[in-house]
Amino acid sequence: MIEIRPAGDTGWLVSLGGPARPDAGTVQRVRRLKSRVDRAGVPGVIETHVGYRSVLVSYDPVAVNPATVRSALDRIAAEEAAAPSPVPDEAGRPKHLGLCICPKCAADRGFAVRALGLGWDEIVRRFCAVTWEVWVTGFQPGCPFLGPVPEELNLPRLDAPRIRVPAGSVGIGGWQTGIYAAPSPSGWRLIGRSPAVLFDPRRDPPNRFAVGDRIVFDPSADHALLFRAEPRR
Amino acid sequence: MKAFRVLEAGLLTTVQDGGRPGHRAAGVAPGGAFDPFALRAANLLCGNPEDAAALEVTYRGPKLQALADAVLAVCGADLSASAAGRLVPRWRPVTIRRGSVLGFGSRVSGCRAYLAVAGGFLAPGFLGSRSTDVRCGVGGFALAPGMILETGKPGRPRLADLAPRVPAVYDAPGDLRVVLGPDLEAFPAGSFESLVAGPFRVHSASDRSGLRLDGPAIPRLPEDVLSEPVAAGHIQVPPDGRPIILGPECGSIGGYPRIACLIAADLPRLAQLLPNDPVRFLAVDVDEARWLTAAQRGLLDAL
Repeated sequence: MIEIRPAGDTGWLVSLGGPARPDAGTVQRVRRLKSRVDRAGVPGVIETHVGYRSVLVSYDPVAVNPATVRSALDRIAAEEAAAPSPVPDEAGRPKHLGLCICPKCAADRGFAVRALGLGWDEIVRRFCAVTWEVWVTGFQPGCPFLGPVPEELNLPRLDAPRIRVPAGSVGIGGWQTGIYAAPSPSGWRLIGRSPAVLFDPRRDPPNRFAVGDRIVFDPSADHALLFRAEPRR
Repeated sequence: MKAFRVLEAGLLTTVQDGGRPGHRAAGVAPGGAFDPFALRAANLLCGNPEDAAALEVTYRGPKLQALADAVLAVCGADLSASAAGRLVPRWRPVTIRRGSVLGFGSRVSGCRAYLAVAGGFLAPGFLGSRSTDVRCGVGGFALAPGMILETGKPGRPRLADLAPRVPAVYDAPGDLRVVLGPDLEAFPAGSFESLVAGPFRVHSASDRSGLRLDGPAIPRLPEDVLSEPVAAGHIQVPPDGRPIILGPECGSIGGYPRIACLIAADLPRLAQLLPNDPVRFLAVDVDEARWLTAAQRGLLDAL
């Protein structure tokens, strides 16, 4: 089930495979595998980071023979398959983030209503009823990718990405949803924008959210009020 | 110590060091010098630690007035560096006198030159590195006219000339050696062969996050995509089939399948490519890649 593939001469990609729809179980297994590799302290390994279905183990090919890292990963994968690590303690209570759903922030509300066959208020209600879990962080520093996207809220990506969406934009792209920490190009359908500051280099740690944290959105169409509450932009 | 006054900034001149590895899980790219070989060489020649902060000079270089006598080294691209009106030879330490102007002229070869100075440049750090993350605006800085550049306490420079040893690293910057990528099941049979057959050229929309290529579209299966962990050198294929080779400032995760990965020894070549330069891919295996990377690092062992 676990496959280990070369990612050039500086990394091994430990992949769990499975369907192209992210699910809580796979994300959880990826997270356990990452922490098992981290705990093993394999010599020559520089860092590990995860996506929805895989862990990338980066190493220095001059400090260590890739085959040695590979053998260690084979052993760790076998151990994890035989006796899965305990599920890490869940983060505390979910954090509440404001979500502005004014027509400007929710630029794709018209599309969402047509594509999903639901009223806008109902879409917002369902999106905000989910206790989201941070499944993956990254792309930009501080971006949380959230799951699970309910079946009835799956929206296809844009055919041509927008050149730039503002920081805080919340979008849905297929089975993925999340918040942009900084202005970025985006192919996701925008359904709102949060005033939360997700990455601040002066903070330690700079990221507001880590994998496993939980988030609930509190919707409001009062743009002025929401963006006054956390006055950064 | 105040070392230079910036008279002209150049196209994009940034402080870069060995980068900040270890923070991809938080979404922070390791960044650092795009051409790590040239950075190490320039630093070692000046008597600095190999990963000290230097200037990454992109294509059109800056003009700097020396505020004190200094030992410096220029490595990587040949951008016609000169001091006090005389060409500065690359790949060896040189002394610049207080008051003289270090400038860059027309580009002869490559894209990025590294200017190290004995003592290293001082710049704001972030997560243990002075590297400028151009995309996120953290760490280091990009040069602007009027800035005063400060340096640390100098060590003892090495009286060496690396020029005879380095050509192999940059001989054919467009020849990029790759190993098979980890996402081959996302491609129909023969796609890797199409990549190797090429030919490609560097697209103008290329920067420290990655180089886009123009050329034959690589066929892809119409699979849904999920974001997976990526790193510099990974070669992604977006739906339009035009490959993107990720650079040191790439996002930590990406949603396009990877058909191949550039070997670490050829990251310096990638750093030296300009828009419209020809690119072709040569397949190697992981063992050969590792040998090439070790051999390249060995070139600097004597320093």
